[in-house]
Amino acid sequence: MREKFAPRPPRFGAGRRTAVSAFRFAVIGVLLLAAPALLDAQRANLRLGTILPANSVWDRALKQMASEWQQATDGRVRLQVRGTTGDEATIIRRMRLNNPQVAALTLPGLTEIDDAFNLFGIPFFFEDDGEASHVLDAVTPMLQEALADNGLVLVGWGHGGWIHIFSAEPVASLDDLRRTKLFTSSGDDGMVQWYKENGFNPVPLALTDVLMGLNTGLIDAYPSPPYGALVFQWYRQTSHMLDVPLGPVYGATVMTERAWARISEADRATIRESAEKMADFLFTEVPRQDREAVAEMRKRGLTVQSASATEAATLRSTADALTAGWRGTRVPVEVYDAAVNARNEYRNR
Amino acid sequence: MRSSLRGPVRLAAILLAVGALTGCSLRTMAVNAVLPTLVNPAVYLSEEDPEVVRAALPFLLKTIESIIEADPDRQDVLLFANTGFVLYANAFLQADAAIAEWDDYARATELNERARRMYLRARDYGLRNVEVAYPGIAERLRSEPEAAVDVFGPDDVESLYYLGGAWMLAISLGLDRPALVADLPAARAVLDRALELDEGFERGALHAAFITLESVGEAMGGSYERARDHFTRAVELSEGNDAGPYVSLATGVAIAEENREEFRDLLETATAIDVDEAPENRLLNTIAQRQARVLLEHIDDLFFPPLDDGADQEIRP
Repeated sequence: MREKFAPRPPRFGAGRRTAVSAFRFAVIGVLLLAAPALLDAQRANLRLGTILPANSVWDRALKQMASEWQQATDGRVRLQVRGTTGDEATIIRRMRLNNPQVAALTLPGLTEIDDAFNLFGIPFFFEDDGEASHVLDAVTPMLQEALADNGLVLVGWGHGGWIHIFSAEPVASLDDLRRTKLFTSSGDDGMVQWYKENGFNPVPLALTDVLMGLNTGLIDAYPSPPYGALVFQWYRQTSHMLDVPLGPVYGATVMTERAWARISEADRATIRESAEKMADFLFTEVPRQDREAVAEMRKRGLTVQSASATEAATLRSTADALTAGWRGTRVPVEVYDAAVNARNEYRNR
Repeated sequence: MRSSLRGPVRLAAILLAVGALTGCSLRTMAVNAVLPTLVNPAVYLSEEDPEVVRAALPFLLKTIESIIEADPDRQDVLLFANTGFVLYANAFLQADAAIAEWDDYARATELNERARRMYLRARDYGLRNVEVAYPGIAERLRSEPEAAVDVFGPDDVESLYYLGGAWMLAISLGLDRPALVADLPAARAVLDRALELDEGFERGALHAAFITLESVGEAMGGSYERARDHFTRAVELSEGNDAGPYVSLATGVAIAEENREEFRDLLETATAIDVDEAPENRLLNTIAQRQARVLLEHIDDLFFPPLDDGADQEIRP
């Protein structure tokens, strides 16, 4: 059982009316005295924790959003974006102490909070952003609930790009992938187990050891968005990329309920509007950045292994059969079913 | 005295004739005469008032660019353009942006964007500089960086330092631009080669740069341990008179390792350095100290409360 971020605020029932005229002035007096405190409750100095690097497209988007919050709320909501080099698990632990009160998390952090987010980690489940966004809209209320159970409020979505398979030898099918020494994030035993049960050869490593793993031959394939392969320079050891996306790296900006409670309804609406603008920006800019990254890597020797529509469909249906077991194990049943329904609806329209 | 005048006049006439014969323009000759006094970095680097340099550098740099236009292959001028534009972008644009970012993000963005573009201009002069000596090197640096840098020798260290520095700084401000990020191995190879050729260059300037390079995090091949080693050597070589390494270790490693006490100690040491002890570094020390003071003012924003104290610490407005 995961520790909750904060106890739910007690519900205060509506007080009985005690409108006694003799007390009217006294009441007004108390209200006037209390006014600064009431105003104070509507102000928030917040900090945002993230592992996303300074001057990256994500850092810029977050800082732009922070600047908008401050301006649009006349300084009532101030957000200081500060990157950390730690991992998302640490940021989440810190949020339990309500500092930082806000975090921009990627999939590993979100799955740490709730299994529902494993939905976006199902290999080859989604074809593209159109489909994945449609499913995201459909399951957002469930994900919000999952966050609320952990004392967190969803502020807005983010985009980290689409994961592709990069490999030293060409990979065009799941059988090709089974022959690789495949990097997988350490700490997710369920994923390692799933890979093994299905004939893959996973090598769990910390993100910080991937470069070493590639240089020493410990791994020769890894899933990553193209930008990641470029910025970490992993692609220099793996000259092939499969042009069938494995899945989207969606992220979320979340706030502790305790901090959220200090923000007025009007300011919350402003904040959400600004966060939505950021999401729109990232859903356009990050895929563009990935296309540019692929173009740059191609100039430097990367071969993009394309797949025909039939090959891609075969790959997806094979993967679907292999990941059907995630329903109710890695992904809660209701989230999995809602996602499949929304995906079918999108594909059949 | 007639005879004593005739000498120089004749010499000038001969030079003019030779100049005309060789296609060398009067403008180039003027450049040759004025250059040694114009291109004296010490005059700028020892300035005690950064605002004087801020105001003076643009004119000098535009003059230098007009010289390059007249004589495109002069390595000393190309190197000065590389150096000067890096200095301006770093000391007056990026440093101001770092301060503005605390309360005016739009202004910080504008300054950083100007800095990025200026670093690229500096890099391009740096590439032209090494191209004069090694034709085709700019292309090879991109296609096979680690092998390409083998051609450089001890005389190239200064060129490599400013070329690699401009390139790396441009990349660090342009992580949202894959075309720039793709040059990371080239910039790194240039600086690696410089360090290999002369680790003692400019009283530890290369080691100081490597503190930041090694602070990028292990996923990108960095190492806080190696950053610390470079810090130790940089302080040794500069005899503790360079504030830069202290600020670099504080921002690159102490924050990452969540070592608030070390952060404070490093920055307090940086601000306590007597800038007159090393006049040749007065300008950069003054700027680094200003940066250190701003960082100290924001120490509470840079560190989260320790996780292990278990206290429920909410930031109060």
